[in-house]
Amino acid sequence: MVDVSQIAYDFQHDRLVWGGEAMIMHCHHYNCFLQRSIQDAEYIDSAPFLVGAAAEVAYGQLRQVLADAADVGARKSAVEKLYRTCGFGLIDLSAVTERGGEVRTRSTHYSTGWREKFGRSAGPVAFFSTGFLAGALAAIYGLELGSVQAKQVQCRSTGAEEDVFVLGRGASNFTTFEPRGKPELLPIGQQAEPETPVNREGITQAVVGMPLAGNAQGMIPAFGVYLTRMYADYYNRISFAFERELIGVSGRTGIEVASGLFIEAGHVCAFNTMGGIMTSAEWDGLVLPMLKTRQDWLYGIVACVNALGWGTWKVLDVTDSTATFRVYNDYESVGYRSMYGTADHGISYLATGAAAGLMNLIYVGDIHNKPALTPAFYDRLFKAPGVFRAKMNRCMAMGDPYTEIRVVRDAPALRAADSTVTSDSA
Amino acid sequence: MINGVQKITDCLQRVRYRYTLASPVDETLLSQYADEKTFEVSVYDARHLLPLSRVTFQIQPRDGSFLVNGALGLGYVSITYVRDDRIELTRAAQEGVLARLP
Repeated sequence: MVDVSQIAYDFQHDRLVWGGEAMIMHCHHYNCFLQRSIQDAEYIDSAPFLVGAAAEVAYGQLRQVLADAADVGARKSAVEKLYRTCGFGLIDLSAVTERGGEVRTRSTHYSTGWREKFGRSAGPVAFFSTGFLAGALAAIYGLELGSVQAKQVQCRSTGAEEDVFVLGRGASNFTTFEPRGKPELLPIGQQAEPETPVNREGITQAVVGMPLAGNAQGMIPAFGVYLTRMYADYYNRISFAFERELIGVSGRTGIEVASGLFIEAGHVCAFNTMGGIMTSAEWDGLVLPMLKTRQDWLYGIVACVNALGWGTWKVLDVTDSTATFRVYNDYESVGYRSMYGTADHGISYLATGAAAGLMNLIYVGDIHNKPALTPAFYDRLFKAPGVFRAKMNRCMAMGDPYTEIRVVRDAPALRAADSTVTSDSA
Repeated sequence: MINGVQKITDCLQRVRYRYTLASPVDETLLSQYADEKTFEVSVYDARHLLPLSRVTFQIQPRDGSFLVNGALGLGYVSITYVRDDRIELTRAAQEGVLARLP
């Protein structure tokens, strides 16, 4: 089945599982920033695991999704549709045979996003698409993943007219990983959240119900950003493989380096995706009518987060200078445990960065006034004094029953925020 | 009628503007794009879940050259244009549509 609207969202755990893979929403800002954070460590050869991570998840999913397809043509068509539906871009597999072939496209999420964010790149950047195509080749023709190869030979991010991927046979030229275990989900705590007129469950259901599928260009334009419905374990694998490489190079210092980079990626995600959501017409139409205070804005956006497949977020308490977020089955923890078992340090980096980001947008950035989401504004929200910082106090990957993040404003007396907000956009 | 224009973002080869209108958005705007061969209008009504919410919509031509986002009853719409050599023509045409609204 390749129609995502037919895939039931698991509201109990706030997840969407498609062909055995948890799928989550992120935008191109986060996707490209995360990849760049990894690639900036030039002393680590990241390309093999960036490609291998995508091959792993695509292969795993497509073997299930394609099981009922009648023939090779139907399988190719289903893969093309799934790729477009998820906002990855457009691919045409007509020239691909069991021996491989060439895939040319002018629409690739990473190539376009990278060029836009960072300018012209020195080499190809669409590692995700490269790995996806490797996994697709293997799944379409019933091959072992370790028997296919994939390489991107042209990339629009370098100034080329097209992205060109070459697929072939032979021992894989990317990382193949130990099989993952079955994801283990823990029960959701029933502790009460603060009273609010915001209908949190209704918002989550409404956002889940929105028609968020790739358009004819293979993009998902929504909430002012371009979304992808990406594999949770793609993010997890590239993040944790990178962290393990860092630890191999520099010991426990590697954890600090990875933590800093990935929490920053969480800031970027919150700023662009959540900032985009809270300044969008969709937000104003669906959510804004219920919001009166900054706290309401936080409850509203967290209800939207729960529609993204990231796990179940709860706000236990919030003031103008502090907040506590509890997250059940955060996708980072679920993925880590299925890949590597129990962690010896907290690994919910995206959640940590995103929690700080939400507070900064609402309490420091006055997002209700619809500020432009510029680089200068980002620096003011995350690099200036008096902003919120987050600390991961508990992490499900370490054996805790949930992940908990405490967010505290550096110098809350600097600026007393009025808790009531008025938006003139309605 | 357009009362104000603000450039919002410029990313992924697309430029987004927010247009403040003289009157709240209503079905009149959607009717400008009723030609299904040329435009795809996607309307989303979540009032059964959120009674206070407004009906949101997206409008895009089949060629993907622009995207209108809005909600009935709001005082603005946002329009995102593909940044290509036709952008000024596309933008002028859409601003013409908005300008003709009451």
